[in-house]
Amino acid sequence: MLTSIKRILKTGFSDFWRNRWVSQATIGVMIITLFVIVSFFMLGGVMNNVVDDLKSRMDISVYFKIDTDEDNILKIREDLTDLNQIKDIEYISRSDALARFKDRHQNDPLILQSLEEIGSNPLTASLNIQASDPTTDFPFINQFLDKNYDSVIDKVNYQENKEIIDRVTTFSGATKRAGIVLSLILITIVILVTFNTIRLTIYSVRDEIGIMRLVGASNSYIRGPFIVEGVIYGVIATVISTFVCWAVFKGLSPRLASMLLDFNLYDHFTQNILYIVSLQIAIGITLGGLGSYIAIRRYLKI
Amino acid sequence: MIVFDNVSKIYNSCGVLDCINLKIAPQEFVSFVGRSGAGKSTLVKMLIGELTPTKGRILVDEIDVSKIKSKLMPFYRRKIGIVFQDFKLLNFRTAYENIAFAMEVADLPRKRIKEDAMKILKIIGLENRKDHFPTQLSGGEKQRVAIGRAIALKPEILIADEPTGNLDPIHTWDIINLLVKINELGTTVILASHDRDIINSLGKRVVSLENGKIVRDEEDGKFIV
Repeated sequence: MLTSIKRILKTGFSDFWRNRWVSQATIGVMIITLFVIVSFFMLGGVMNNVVDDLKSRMDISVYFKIDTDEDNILKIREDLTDLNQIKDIEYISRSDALARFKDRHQNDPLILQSLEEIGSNPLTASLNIQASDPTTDFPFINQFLDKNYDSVIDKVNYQENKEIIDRVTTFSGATKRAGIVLSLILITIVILVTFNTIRLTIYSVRDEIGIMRLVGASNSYIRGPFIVEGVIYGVIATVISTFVCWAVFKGLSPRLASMLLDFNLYDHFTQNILYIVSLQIAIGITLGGLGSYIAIRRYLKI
Repeated sequence: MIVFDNVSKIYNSCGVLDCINLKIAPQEFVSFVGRSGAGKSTLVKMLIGELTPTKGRILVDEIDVSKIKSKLMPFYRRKIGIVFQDFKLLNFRTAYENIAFAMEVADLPRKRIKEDAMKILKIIGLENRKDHFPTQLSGGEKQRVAIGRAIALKPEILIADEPTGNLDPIHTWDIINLLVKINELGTTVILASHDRDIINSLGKRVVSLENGKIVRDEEDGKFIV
């Protein structure tokens, strides 16, 4: 048994070496497959980043009645901070609001002039709230405010923002689904191409497989070296594909950063390197080993 | 003992072999002769389990060959050596490795394989070409390697299906002499051939086939068309 395993391993390696011209084609196709899969993984990271970025920019503002005490507002802020749903709260006092307003409209003399004519500060204090997950948390926060502090609140701009929030939610869901469907289709295609290449490799040695059967080799003894060869394809393809990805993402990262909302492709790659390599190894070995196992089956019937 | 008991083979409703009854004793040298299409190869293929008879049975040492399960077929085939007209060598393995392969599949220890393979290479006269691949060998040399592989496991039966069909006259006699030598060492040899000169000079048992039937079966037979 042990000698058999040793022989199968040895034969697998030597067959791989002697068939290296045929092997190159299979490994080449496999590298493309793995590269496509890793690229989809990276694309997933980019999409998540875009959606996260959009979500982090979403907030609601709570405007208090003009005569509300600052202490009272700060207390409300404290109460809100205790909620799990809240990621960040910023208090903007009446004077802050005025300063910002002036700053924003510094080039608009008409507005500044009307502000001066009013004489007093017409702006109200507000709390600017960011939620952990805008889609689910904002409705809750809105309700919470409504229930507890209705008397001091002038207005919450939740309704206006709701439409944008809903749109982002739909968008992120749709891109996720489209991404999954598209990547599944493409990955299926590249896997089928790889499998077909392996089938051609086995087809080219079908006569030898028949000979082995006629000389008295058992099916497992014939199959063994081919599976070993397939696994070697997978391992080599993983090594090369990882290196290619590393080089590509390192090169592209600085060039694409501004386009991808400062998302660093190269960092995303290196941070997930263990996962990426294991994913590739798993797919490569399964494709190579299982592919050979299935492809060889029909020639073992003599 | 090999027994063909009423064996018929029909391909797509066209009969190739018709009621073959035949007994071959251990250590015999039997030639199957006949024109192409007479059914020689079909007979050989059924004997090695590559084809199953449509009717009748083939017994080798009282085992019905067509009843051997696919999983156990390798064990049966290790008991018989087979030589083909087109050599059927493994092209990615050297002469030595082709011979060793037959012993490796039987799980023999490495040391013994090395010793036996070298002995066989000596018998077939290819010691100095042991590291050559089949593509680097001549037709006669390839066939000698094939015979070396066939006798590697010291089979009780050696089947040669047109072993000289692709060879020139000089190499042909090399191969035939090798088969006679193997038979003298105690192996049953079954030779399928349509080469009249060889059969007539062998002076062994000849079974003549014509249109799927045995028309003659003689000790010290001749090939008469």
